[in-house]
Amino acid sequence: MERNEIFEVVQQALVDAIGVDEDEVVGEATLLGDLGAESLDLLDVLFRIERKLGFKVTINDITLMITGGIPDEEFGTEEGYISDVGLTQLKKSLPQIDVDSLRGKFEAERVLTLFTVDNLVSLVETRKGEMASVNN
Amino acid sequence: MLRQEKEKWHLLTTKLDIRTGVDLQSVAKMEKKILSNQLRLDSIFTLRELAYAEGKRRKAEYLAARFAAKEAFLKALGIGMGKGVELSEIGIKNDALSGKPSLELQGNALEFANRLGVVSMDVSLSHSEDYAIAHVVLLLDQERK
Repeated sequence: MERNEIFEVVQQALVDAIGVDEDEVVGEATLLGDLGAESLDLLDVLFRIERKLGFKVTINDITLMITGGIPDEEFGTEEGYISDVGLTQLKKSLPQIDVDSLRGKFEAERVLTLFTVDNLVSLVETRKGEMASVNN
Repeated sequence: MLRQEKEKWHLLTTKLDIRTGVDLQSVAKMEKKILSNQLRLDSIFTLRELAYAEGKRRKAEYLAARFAAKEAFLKALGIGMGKGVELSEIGIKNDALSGKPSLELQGNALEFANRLGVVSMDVSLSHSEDYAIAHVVLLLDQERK
């Protein structure tokens, strides 16, 4: 399955679950911000993807992808902003982000709001690859 | 010292902290998602919650309120969704006589609460045709952390 096919699955799931128009679901759109998804919508989207592709992608997977498993106390500073360790991780996990623009002013607890449609497609693509290697 | 006096003395000398969390959910959205049959309800709600709501005319209201309680609890813990706690590990049970709701935890949800030093917790739910709201209060013993 090619990336553009995964994009179409993700796009349809977002359209059906959130009720947005297809042309709003572009790669750089953030799920929680631009598309206005709430937590219940996000669960709905992930369940729809699971039903369509036959494997599970969870909100825990999304968080793990973004933070790389770095503990909260290292990912954020004492003031609650994303730390240098966190910013280095974001450079890898969310490559579209200009991390310098977040330094010292973006709260670590809001990191999920940076997650885009393209990021979700990448996560699904990775999970699909993992599933294929497990089955081989 | 009498047991009651001991408990009172313990409370007076314990460093307590309080955490709250509140969440609001749209009942119409919950209803639409239930009807679409796309939500895996058993991975969100406990069997007790599903049994409580099943067959009731206001099922979407009950489930929206319970979903709000799960979110409110996670907010009170200060972790939000996606931090290893499954929503189905946070449940609401109702007192058989009064109907008063209370939280019942298991798995990672219970572990997080213990790690934080939660010694007491309470939840309040309210819902109408349009919205459901939940408010969770956690009492923390800082010495148990």
